[in-house]
Amino acid sequence: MPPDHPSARICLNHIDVRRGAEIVLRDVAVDLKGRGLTALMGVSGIGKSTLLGVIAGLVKPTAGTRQVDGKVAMIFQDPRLLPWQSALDNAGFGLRAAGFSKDEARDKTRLLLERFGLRPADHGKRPSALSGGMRQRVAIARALAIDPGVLLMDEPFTGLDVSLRADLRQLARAIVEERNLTAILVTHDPVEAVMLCDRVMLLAGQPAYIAADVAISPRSGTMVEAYRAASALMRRLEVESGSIVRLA
Amino acid sequence: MAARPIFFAAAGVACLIALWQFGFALGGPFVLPAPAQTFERIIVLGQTGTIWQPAAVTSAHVIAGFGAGAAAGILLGLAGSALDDLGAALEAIATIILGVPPIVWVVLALLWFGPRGIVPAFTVGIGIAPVVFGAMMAGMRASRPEFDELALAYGAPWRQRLFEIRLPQVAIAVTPALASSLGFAWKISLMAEVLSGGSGIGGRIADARADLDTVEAMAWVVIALILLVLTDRMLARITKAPSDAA
Repeated sequence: MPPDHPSARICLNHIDVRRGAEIVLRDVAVDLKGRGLTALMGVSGIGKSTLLGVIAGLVKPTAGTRQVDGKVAMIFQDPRLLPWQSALDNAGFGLRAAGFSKDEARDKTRLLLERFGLRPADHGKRPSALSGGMRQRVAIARALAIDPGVLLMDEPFTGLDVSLRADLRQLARAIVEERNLTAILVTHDPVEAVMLCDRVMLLAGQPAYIAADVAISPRSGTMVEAYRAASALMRRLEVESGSIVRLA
Repeated sequence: MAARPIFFAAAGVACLIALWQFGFALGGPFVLPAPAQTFERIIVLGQTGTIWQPAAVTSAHVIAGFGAGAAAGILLGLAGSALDDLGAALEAIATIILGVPPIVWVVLALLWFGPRGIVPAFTVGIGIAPVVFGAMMAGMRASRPEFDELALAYGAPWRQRLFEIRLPQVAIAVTPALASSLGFAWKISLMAEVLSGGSGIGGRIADARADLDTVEAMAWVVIALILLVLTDRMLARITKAPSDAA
């Protein structure tokens, strides 16, 4: 029985973030509730990771209110596995942080790792002995092991080869649906957004704000559909934001 | 250790003994005793039980000095990395202490404590504390901030941050310093014992020198080397990173 998180919600109001003298985010408002995957897009350095940091509680806003209901788990761009721990112990990191013993954490994460394609023989391996895809799967298992209501993914598929990206994208979507997660995916790729996500938020401007927020329905199933839909999405984002959208 | 490295390690030791034999053939027994004669003396020392007390005394000096020096280095390194001003002051002190030759510490310790067992242990401790302190500071500075962010993201308590994130990173820097300090500790302890007398291996080497008994002196040197290798292996086992097995 998949866990249910009907109360998971991300609500940010009038969020400002300063870094020194520079204002990074200004008057950002986000309201996400219930199951769904939202793409967060924007040019590099605009503040997407900062916004995820605000939601995760890693970055303190200088103004505004943050309300996040439900446990928050984060998947980073690099898997960020501890090199001195096995895959199994890396996957149990969040559980141990939550107070579970080492053995309890191992018991809980074994099945999860197998579900994500790591054979029992791989569980004892250090990250250096795992492929890039396996490392990212361990990072996903680590995030899901704590049974989060909110899942934040900061470009988790960047740097992986095409087939691995496709596998992990499908896995991410399946996880969101199975576990009824309120999830945000930071991505530069509009094709990825239209294939995986239910909604797209565009961060733009200097300082950055949510310049566009559009729903995607239905999601694209094939690559041909996805490319067409991505083109349409870019037009909608440009219309809504009133400017030319750059994502790289 | 796999069979191949063991074979080459044994071959290296055999080469050293062959060179030793060559030195004996060249210089004669007064300069360098024959390896066979030396090993025979070690066996005699073992059979008569003479070996154990000096070996135990020197081991105690090394372990006490090494333990105290390593503990002081680690604790001061932790304090110095937590407080920048204290760290800067301690680094200056460590540099000065490192610059003082161990022989000077032996002389000073003899003046302060007299010819007692504390002299070798003190000299070992003061010799390795700044080395371990320096490695500790370097290890703490080299900590990767992304792991701190990971700990923050998952709300890891301080105990988990310390044992799962901070200490393993520090261990990468400190373990080689501890291993090299252990070899250093044996050398300093023997030197201090030779100069201060007493009942350790260094004292026996000093006695053998006074008697011009080069076989006895060489036998004690080999015994000290065997003890050094044994403690080095033990340290390597203790400080070895956790196994891959989950």
